[in-house]
Amino acid sequence: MTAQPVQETKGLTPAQQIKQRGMQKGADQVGIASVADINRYAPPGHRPDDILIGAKSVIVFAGHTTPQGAWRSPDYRTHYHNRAFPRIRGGIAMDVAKFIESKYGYYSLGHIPPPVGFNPSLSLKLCAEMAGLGTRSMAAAILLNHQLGLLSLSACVTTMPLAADGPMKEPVCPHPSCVKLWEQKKTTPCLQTCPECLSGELEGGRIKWMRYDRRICSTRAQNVGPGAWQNVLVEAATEPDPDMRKSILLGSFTRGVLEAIALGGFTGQCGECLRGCPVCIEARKLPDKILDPDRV
Amino acid sequence: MPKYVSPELYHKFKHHVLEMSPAIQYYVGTVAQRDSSSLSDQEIADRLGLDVDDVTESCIAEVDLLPADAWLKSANWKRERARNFFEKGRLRGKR
Repeated sequence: MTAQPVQETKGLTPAQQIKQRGMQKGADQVGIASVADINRYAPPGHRPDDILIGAKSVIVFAGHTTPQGAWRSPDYRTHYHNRAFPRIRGGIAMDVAKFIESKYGYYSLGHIPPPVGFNPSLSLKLCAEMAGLGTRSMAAAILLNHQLGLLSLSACVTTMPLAADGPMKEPVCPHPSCVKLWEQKKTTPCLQTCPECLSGELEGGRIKWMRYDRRICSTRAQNVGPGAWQNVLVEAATEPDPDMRKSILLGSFTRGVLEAIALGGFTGQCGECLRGCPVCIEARKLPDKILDPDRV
Repeated sequence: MPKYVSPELYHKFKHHVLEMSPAIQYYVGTVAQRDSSSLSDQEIADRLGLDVDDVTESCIAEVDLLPADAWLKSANWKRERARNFFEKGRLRGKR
């Protein structure tokens, strides 16, 4: 087959065109990480070039996880039922993968293989960090940035060498108000909210160390999902009292678990450590708009 | 290739595997420390002299070792946390 010339878009580099495509398809932010940078931290077997032979770049798409109103509901379930970006992020990555293959002739993927157990085949947080989209926070090392707060992510892995953005220079966490709170009370809003999962210390206005225990977190962040379903099955199968067994299997909790699995909505079910996070609160604020009262 | 982990092997290594896995994550600053935790299944298998598939299947410990009512309690915990946040008036703005 004869090589075809790439159609240039005036004034934009290929990296800029790819980012523009991601934004047009619904991402709020797009960053590019080099596979070499990611491989400095990811263990063998969990690297982009373990998934796509010859991978050179990972394009990461970030979005507002939910409409901002989702954080203003006293019903905690509203938050995860409004997780909008997770519903479209895979489609954005797939579209860009096809765009790169058709326009530039480099092999690309829009989805990474599923996790084994709880462990991802590729850490999207690491990719996003290396793409300059955010930095790790005291809250479960979740990635934050000032514009979006909590990031929702997807990625396109490609063999195309692209100019990488590289990690952010300054950490987003801790927020100055958290530093102040730490100096006064040796705590932060996230540590106060979830001491079962989170621990750590600040020093000199930076995170000194932090520890995240995923075990309890997973029962909250995947409250009604496969883990809960497996547990309910074991509990019901080993329950000697038939009436109690009925109560377990026919109860509202088990029904909620099945509904979540059937509808594919079992991730991201908790954001309580970030509800009071000042970085996230600022990112959630809507700008004031002036409306003509006669035309409302 | 998926398989079922043998009960003997699981009971012998479940705590080790869980503590060495990403179930526990420790960071200095914002850099993950992968000396004794946050290891991949292959890295755990190499250190414990196990087959990697046995390590992978031992991930059942992350569900198995939690109290049976942990998921039910979590739902109630979240309901309470969200309610407390609004009752304390920590959300500013009326719009």
